[in-house]
Amino acid sequence: MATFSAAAAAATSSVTFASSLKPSLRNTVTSGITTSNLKMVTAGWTKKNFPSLKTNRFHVSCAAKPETVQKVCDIVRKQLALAADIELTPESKFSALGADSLDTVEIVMGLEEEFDISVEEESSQNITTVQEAADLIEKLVEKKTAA
Amino acid sequence: MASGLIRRAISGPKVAPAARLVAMRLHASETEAQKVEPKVSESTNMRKFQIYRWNPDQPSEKPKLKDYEINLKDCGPMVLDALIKIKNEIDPTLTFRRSCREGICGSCAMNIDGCNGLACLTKIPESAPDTMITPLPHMYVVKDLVVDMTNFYNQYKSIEPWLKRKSPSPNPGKEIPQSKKDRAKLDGMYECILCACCSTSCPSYWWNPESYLGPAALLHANRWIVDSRDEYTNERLEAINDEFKLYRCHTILNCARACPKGLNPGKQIQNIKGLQSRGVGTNFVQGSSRFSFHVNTQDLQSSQYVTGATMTAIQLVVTATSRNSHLCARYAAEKKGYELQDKLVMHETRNNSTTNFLAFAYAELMKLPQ
Amino acid sequence: MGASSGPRLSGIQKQVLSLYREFLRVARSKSGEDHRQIESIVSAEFHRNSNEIDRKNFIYIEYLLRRGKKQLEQLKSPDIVGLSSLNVGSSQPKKT
Repeated sequence: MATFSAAAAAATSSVTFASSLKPSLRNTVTSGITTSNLKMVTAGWTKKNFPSLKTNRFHVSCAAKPETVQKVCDIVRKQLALAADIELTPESKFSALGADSLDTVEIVMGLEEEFDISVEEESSQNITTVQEAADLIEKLVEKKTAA
Repeated sequence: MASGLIRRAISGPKVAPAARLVAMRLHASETEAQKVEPKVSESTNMRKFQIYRWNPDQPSEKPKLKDYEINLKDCGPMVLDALIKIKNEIDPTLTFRRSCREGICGSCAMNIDGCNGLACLTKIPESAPDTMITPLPHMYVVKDLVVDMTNFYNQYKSIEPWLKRKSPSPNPGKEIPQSKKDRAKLDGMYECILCACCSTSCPSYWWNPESYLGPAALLHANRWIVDSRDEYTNERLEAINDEFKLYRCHTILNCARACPKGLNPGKQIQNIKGLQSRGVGTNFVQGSSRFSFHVNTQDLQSSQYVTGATMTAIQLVVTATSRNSHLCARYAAEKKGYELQDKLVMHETRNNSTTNFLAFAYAELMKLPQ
Repeated sequence: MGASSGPRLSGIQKQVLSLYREFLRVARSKSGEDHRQIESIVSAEFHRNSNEIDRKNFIYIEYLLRRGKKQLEQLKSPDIVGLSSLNVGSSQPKKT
């Protein structure tokens, strides 16, 4: 216990040290930085090549496999005890199906068990539709197989 | 029945003093003794008690102070007697903790007329027309006067309140010998019953209940630090040598006022603080690793104070964030025969960044010829 | 509790949800039959409270959160194999 607190204290003390030195740095070096920044910006504007990132981003969101989506739909149907005739599309929201936030947590836990992944707190709060759940699962499964 | 015994003992020709003592003790705690008395006093002494009530089973109701009126002539002298009488006769749903009724278990700690104390040891105040009873301040309420003590107990657990030794006992199988003088050092600390009256009266504990250990835990920490049989003294001191665990104490000394057993936790905390600063200086000179100072050499070079210092072998590790670190740096420098510039010392301690000071101090030390 | 499954949950709602998640995780770590029993009790309790309690009654919700955390600590121990609950109704005392 003693050594751990010592290490933590050392970490915090070094952090405070760095932050307290910032004012001294700024006084001497700020002018230099701003001028150099300006130079970089003007250089950038002369080139008119903007690498296109937009297409890449769209590709990521549609990457969920159809069988993943199907499995998610089955789990949702089972957790919320939906009748067989209620149709379940990838775009259907959980709240529209009558699930409150507790049911959403249950669904996420069911998905964790099924796919053997573990979902973070923050990511699980953003899941509102079947499609989003499937995407998140895909991402985590990929990360797991890559690791 | 008890009163019958009393009368026989007093009216007999020879009254043994022990019997009279027994009679007095029985009289104080038995409420029935008063009822059996044939001579009823002419006036009843009605007293109002305002008691904090909150029921978690009726969640929509807010906490409130409920009034109860009882006849003090029919009741024992202590607040606990009044509470039991109210629970028996007026409102059985009144909930409070109690056990020994003699001030040794610490269960019935509550706030009576603004002061923390044990209900079984606090006499019902004679002067005031009504008495206000609330749970211990700034603690989560479980029901009525019962509070959640888990944080308090966890803090007590965190200081490791048991004997720790590195070497085996000198007489294996027998007790570890301790002189009378060493045993006397524990007086004033071993009597603590963990009632939490002191910690819940400390404003510093109100504002930082999770990080500040509180007077009770620190009193027990001192009890183990000062115990001559315990061999982990340095580790214990280091474990609590923290800005929040120990140094949130600003010697408000509400704890000494509130303690129902008459202990002084504030004094014990001052003892710990003294040990921290003294222990540091000696260890530094002896070269042991209790407090060593390490400064990030890169930051040192960019500091405006350290332009001419030589950056060889700055191998001191800062483990202490306590305010006493500047004292130990000064002590170390003076031991080596150097003099630190006082005005710069003042500047750094005002900034309250002890690491900065240490960097500067050490740099100064390096500048001077060895 | 409000049924806002969009990302606009208040701090206390998030605490309740994370406590629920912790309970379900601990239930998972127990063996099969116990797992189902714990899950059913915990789920029933949370759903009942979410329907009965007013969203603004912070005092009571915080009290339940504290109680839940203590029960969770107890449940985490490997010796504990199950939960059970019984309802004590406030009935009139029988006159014999």
